[in-house]
Amino acid sequence: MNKAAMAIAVAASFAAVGAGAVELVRGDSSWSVANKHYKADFNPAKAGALIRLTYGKTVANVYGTSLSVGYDGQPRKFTGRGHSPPQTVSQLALANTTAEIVEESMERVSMKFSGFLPDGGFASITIACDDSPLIRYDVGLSWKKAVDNVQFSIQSASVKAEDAVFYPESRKFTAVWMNGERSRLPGWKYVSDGRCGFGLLMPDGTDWDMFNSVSRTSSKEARKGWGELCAIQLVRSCHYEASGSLKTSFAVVATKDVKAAFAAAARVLESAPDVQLCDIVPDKVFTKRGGSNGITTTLVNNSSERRMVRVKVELASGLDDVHPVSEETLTLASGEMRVYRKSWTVPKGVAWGVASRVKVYDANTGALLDERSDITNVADRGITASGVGLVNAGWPHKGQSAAWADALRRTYIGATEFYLWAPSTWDPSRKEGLAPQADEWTAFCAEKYGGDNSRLAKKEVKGFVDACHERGIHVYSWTTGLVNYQQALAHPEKFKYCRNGQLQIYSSKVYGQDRYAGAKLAPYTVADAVDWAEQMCDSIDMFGWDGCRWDWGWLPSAPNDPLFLAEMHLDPSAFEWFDWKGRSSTELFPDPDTTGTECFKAWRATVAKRHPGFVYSSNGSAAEDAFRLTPKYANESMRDGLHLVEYLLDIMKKYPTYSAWGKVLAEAAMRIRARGSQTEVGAMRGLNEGTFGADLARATCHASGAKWWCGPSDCRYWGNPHRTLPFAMRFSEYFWGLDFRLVPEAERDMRVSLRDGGRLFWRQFVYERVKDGVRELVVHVVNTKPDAYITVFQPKPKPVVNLVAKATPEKGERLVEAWGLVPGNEPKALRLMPSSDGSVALPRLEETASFVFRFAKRGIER
Amino acid sequence: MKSLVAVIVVLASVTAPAFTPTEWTRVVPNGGLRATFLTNGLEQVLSGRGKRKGGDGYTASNVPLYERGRLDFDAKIEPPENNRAMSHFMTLYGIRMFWHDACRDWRVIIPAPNAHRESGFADEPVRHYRIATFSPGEWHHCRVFFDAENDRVEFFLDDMTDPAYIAGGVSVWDQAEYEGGMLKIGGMGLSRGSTGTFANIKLTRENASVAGRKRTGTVVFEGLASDYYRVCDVLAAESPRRYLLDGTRYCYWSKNCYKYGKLPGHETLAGARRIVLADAPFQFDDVLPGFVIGDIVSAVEDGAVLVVLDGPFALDKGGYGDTAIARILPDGALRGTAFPEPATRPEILERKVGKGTVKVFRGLKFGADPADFRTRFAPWAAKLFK
Repeated sequence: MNKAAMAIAVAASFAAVGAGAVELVRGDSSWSVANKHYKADFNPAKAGALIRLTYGKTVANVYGTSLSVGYDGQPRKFTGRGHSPPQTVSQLALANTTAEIVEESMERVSMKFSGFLPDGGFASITIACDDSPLIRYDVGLSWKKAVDNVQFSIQSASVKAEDAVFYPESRKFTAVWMNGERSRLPGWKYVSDGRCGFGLLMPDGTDWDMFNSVSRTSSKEARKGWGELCAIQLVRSCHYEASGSLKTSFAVVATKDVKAAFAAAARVLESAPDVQLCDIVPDKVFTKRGGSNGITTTLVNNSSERRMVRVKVELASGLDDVHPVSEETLTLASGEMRVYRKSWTVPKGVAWGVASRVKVYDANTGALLDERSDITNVADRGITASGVGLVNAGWPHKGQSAAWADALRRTYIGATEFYLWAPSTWDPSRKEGLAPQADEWTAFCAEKYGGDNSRLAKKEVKGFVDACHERGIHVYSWTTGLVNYQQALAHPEKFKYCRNGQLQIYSSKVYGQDRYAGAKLAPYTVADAVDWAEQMCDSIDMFGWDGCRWDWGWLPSAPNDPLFLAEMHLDPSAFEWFDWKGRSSTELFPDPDTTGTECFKAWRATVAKRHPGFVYSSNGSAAEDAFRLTPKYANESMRDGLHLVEYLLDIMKKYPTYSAWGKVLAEAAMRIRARGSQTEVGAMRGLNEGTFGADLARATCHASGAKWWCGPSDCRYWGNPHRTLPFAMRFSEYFWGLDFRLVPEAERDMRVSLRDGGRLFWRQFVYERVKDGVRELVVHVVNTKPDAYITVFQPKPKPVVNLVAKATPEKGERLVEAWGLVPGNEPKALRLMPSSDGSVALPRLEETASFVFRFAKRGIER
Repeated sequence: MKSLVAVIVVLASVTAPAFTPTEWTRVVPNGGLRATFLTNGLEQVLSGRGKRKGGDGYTASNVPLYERGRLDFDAKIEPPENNRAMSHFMTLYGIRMFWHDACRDWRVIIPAPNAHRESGFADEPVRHYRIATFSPGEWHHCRVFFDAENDRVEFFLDDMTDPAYIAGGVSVWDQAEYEGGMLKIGGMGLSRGSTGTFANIKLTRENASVAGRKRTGTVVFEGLASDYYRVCDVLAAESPRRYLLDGTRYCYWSKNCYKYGKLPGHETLAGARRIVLADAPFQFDDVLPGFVIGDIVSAVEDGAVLVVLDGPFALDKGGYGDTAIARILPDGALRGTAFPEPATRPEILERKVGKGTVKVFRGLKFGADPADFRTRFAPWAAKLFK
């Protein structure tokens, strides 16, 4: 068919569509289907890939809109490391594809594409169109080689960012590099700017699936337009099954009309109630006691009638203490979407994790129509009960500060480090140090950590801190003894030198004529420490930091990055440095423990004098060795703050199994907890987020009493932190409460037993405390064999049904209460009823859960 | 000839090679020699490493044996989807190159004992080095310069100014010295359908001597404190070639870890009128390969001017004393302690070396303000770069 004939045919099809019909036009390179909502062009030579959507005069080219199968490239064996194997992802280009029209009528057009996958597996895709805005896909897949993931995405640059609104949340999209928002399944995601719209809908699925709405707007891609907007992951990443099959259905939402999209979605999604609550967004990740917080949600009336509803807002704290906030009656017109917002003040006595719930009832019948909740917490500091994360200096630029703060809030990060932002981390002249005089500067070493824009402005940095504060997020300035080398040229007496007299350079990435290699500072006198602390005070005044996170330590004998402490002990001479006159560090500092401690104390005291609430976060070893070799410094550096134990990332050689890692991590956390600090461990480098291996490692980390230090990009993945972190945050008192202590190893089996046949990991995680005369025994359970290796190949854990646990009361005690804590869309505390022998049963264990047993002395009523 | 165990599909006919005393050219009509390699299905028993499927096969042409010359060719590699194998190889004399389908790059193998095999690379050739990224499905122009006398090979990809990789200590002729020159193009038998197209293959002899050639251009090596001099701004009219120091890793121990991001090829240094080291550290075989230091010395002896600008990473503190440069420096250039010294008056030390000159500027001290120093340096620059 020539172009003119095609144009006539398309015009005719739109005319016919007006009568509620659907029409197929078969061209040489595309098959076009048109109805009153859209004209869609499919490529029959590429397994029916959707290539174009046309709405009247608006033509939207869509990309990547076909099934994508990613294969894993490694054999199924333990490699001794958690690092991810190279993964190969191939767009589904079926070999010898057959394409056929299965049905062609006025009511329905159905096309079928089938063929072999690259691994010899088979795929069949049926695409059906009728007069609705939904293009339905029925997919059958079988594969023979380990599949990493199967996904379907839809991308387009045709939706204008400034006008784009995402539904069903009805929110403007805040685009952040490598970040996105999820909808739970069954669910849908849809974006429209009024001229063009598209989305995905999945009527089935479980929590383990992912239905993701993702935007990639790194500076490079932003120039090209919008990246991936919607993606649906049919098989979760890193499934790692050598063979398998999948049969599922989903739909592309193809309309520019928001109401039509809502109506179509409501018809298909059986779970969609007449009146629906879209996602709930808390104002803040954490609130101080007595402070205020709030939630925002959107109410949608999917029905064709006006509906009167009763909206109830309540908080849940502790294990299951419910605090009503408000209750009111609203009337919603048919199809109305109303943004609903409610503020609340922290009720007296509420602390740690809080679930804020919104429930909507039919005002006439009292029937519950929908409910939504999200987790926040009440604490004095962001590190107490929230997640801990990081943002690189180069990320929140060009007006994206608020979007990054939103991303942190969505991922429950209550304290974020802000990396490498300063022109120099030290400058006694106060020109370009932590409180730079210039309005703009080049961020010192920003590219070291992937910052894609090393040019920063004062108002942007302050804007990011303010945006975080508005969302209940603390910001910690990343601080280090690695200083812009130009400072070293100006102040040679303050730096470290190699044996051959060269100034010591840590990261010598140099570029252009602005050379920002990091020279190693040697500020090991109290006077220098005080001067540096004053520089930090000026910086706090300027930007409003809530704390700092040192990637450095004050011990003059230690390497600048305590990640390598173990190596220092093996060969101390490799770390010996020289001052500018050639004197060695061992000669200058014969007692590094005392020197480091005094400097450190002076720094803290100086900052505390001007900013009493400032939080000190440090990194280093919390192993027994640290307390033996440098006892004063170990005690001081772990006091009342946050301590990062990066050395515990060495899962390849030292801690290859969950039990080995959990043991050393829990014991380190106990040493840190005893000094009043929280513990964090770096995201497992190379252990891909989204894998079951990483999920279980994160659960192990929380069960050990530590936090999993991570970036907001992790929210792309369904598994974590969407489940594990909010679970730990909701019950943070039991994970991170400083008064819980590990039960001595020898006593654990006497205190508690689980009927698990030895296949669950829990023995390392038995804690107890006594509060208000009640002894609480807590057992965290991770659904993995204790001796399983921590790798990306960890299979999906099989749920355990009716997990029986029994805790033994001490003499004179009786069991008062037993609870099971379980993650989920809203983490829940289930009251467990003890049987006659005192045991309790948890109905279902997925990846992780906890038991809480409360004992009181006999004769005391609780 | 070795049996052809891989399946080679030659899609275009190949003309007989044309020989001249100084040049060998293979003209391939219809766009080039196009070869698709498939796994041969045969099982190889690899010593100590079990079995794998595959085997190599190649097509070969006799070529002249040149001591010094260059091989130019255009290549396009089209790996199949999901292929994780090494695919095509090309060898000239003892220079062994191959293309890696999965890593999308061009590599060279410099033979080494099996004991030097990197752990985790059981199926890879021992001591293979990445030359450059080779975009799949795109034409690239490649040049391999070789110098058998000096055991040097330089690989150029698209950019014919600076080599993408320089290999020193390479046995260029290897067995070809006894067997005669041969150019082979083949497949390793591991690939499943990788297609490589090679065109405009030309082998050219080069003269060893550059005597009498007019020296042009300026080469500047910039180290950490080169910002104090901004030589490239001072000599902007000469459009100097600039080579920057870069970090190789994070150095947590008491040692610096850096090297130059790229290096000049033999022609650049051999033909340079002026070579400037601006606070440029030169630790032998650490920051800079020894053969490049040797090239600088040769260039000076042959007539180039070497200007050394002092700084915290130059001269004695830059490791010059342990390199061949030490023997051409003026007397006293390496004096002083290794650690920062008190300020001295600026001075220029000068020495004639062969047909060339070495000038050393001493005077940059710690504590100087860069802008202020540049102002004071201007008259000295005029003397150094006249």
